[in-house]
Amino acid sequence: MSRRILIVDDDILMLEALHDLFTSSDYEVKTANRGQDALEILQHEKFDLLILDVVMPKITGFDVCIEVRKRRDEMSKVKIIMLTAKAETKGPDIDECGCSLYLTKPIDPGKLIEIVKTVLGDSAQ
Amino acid sequence: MVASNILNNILDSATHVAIIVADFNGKITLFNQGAVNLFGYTEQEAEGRNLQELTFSIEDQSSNLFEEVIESLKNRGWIGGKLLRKHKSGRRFSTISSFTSFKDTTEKWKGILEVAQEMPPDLLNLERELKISKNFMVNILESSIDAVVTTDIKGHITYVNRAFRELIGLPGHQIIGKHISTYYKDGIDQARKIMNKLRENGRIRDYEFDMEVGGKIIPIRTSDTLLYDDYGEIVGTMGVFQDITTRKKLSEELSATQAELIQAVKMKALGDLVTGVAHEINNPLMASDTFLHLLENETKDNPMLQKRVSLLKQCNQRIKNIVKKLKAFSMQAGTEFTPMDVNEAILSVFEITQQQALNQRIEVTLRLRENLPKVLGDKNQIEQVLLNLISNACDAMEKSSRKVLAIYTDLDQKTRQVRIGVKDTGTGITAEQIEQIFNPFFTTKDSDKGMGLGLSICYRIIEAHRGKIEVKSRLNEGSEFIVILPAYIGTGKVTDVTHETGENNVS
Repeated sequence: MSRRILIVDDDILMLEALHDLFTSSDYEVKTANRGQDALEILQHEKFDLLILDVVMPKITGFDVCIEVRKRRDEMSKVKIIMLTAKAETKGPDIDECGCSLYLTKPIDPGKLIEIVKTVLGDSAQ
Repeated sequence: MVASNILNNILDSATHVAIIVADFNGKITLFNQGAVNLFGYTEQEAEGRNLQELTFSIEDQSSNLFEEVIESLKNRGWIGGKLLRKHKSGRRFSTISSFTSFKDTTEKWKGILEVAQEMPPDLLNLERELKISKNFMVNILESSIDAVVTTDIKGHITYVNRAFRELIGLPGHQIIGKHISTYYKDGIDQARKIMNKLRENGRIRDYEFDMEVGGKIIPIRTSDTLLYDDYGEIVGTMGVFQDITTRKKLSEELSATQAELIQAVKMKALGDLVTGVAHEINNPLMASDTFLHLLENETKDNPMLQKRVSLLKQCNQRIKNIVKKLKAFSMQAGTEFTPMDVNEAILSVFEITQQQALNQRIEVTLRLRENLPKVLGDKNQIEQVLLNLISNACDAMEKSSRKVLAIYTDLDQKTRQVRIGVKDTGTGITAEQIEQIFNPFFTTKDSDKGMGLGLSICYRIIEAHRGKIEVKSRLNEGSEFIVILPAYIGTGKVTDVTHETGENNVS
């Protein structure tokens, strides 16, 4: 059974690129281009990994991350990778939101696949 | 005989005018009725006595004024003026006297003739008042901080006050009579210029020019007026001179500070802009990279398409490098300040650049000050700055016949600033270029050699270190970049660490 990834980014091009990237690596990918859509999807679907863009209007990646961590079911422990184009985002937010990993764009797609494999490999243990 | 009688009659009837004849030693030979009335001595008492001893004030006797009168008479034949006298009773009073010398029939000097009249009290008062008011005016002029000078119509100095004497550094009598242009840097041309302006408007306000005194240039701000006599004829000029050396220096310093401030603000604005641009580019860049990554996998059996994908990837790589540099400029990468030895940084950079220098046949001199205090800095960034400056210096000397790269460190004890100098014998930089040299994308090099971010990044880095970069340059002689950093005064602890975002470190 293939792993399920939810990718959330307000940049449609980015969303499409990551969708294609992970689909081609045999992941089952679902996308959302707004934070509120992501939360909606997460109400009734389960994922092995969330990839969240940080800067989005209204509900940010951080907000989604924090909401998920608050849950009382197994989804609260889902692996989360935060992705940002802003390098200057302050440290405390990253630590406090409870994400598994924090990556800065641009990141090499090959490397991103490797990282995701590593992260999900960890989760399998 | 008749003439002699008439003369005696005249002498005796002149009861209100003292007429006294004496020889050159002052021995009185004639003392008329007027003299008797004036001084209180009889003719018999006076004749044969010394004029000075008998009638001059004690003060004038002690300074031997009579001898001065005789000296003047020999030169001029006539002298007159106010004289302080004493009466037989001891009363002191003033006379208006005129002395003339005369010769006998054999054309030999015979003696002197004094014609004197008591000075009327109202005239005395008038004189006193005049003196008081003159002293008052002179005092005002003398105590003026600004230099005051008057000249005659031809420009010869007729009066200078204390401030003017101090400005020139000479006593008044050595200045008065000199032409005013003597003290002007541009000499007579300047004097004419001022005079023409004066004739046009009658006066000049806050005009600036340079004086030159003892080889020293003094910047002056002057206000001048023409001087007129009672008939409205121009008789001369009056000028008030202000030494504006200090003011000028201050205003120069002020504009330098302003320029620095403007540069800093400009850099900050550009930094913000660049941050925004870099951020905006990153998203589509990564998307494009991802699509290319997929495309590469999907076109493995089509060498033609593979080649194009590879070229596209190269384009993306170029964009990534630019963004990286822009980020460096906007100081996004984060800095880690630790106490560091500047000399060590120079030596490690020198190792890297040695080969380039050798290849270009550049002679390198290192003059590193011993026991240089540490600076609080980000070692990587300081090295990046040095690398940049050295590399620029080498580039600048590409076409020079003499190629010397001098790198030195020094300490300004007074300001506790560490100075790092990188000096070349290259083409030099024009003043206009210096103004723009730290601007991003300003470059004089060929486009393949860089995009003009190097020095702007250096500027930002040194700015973040609370230091500054100065540039001195002479065309075709070379340039010198001086990095100035505050010396580290501390216990060796790291005092200021900003977060390190790094580059996608998997933790």
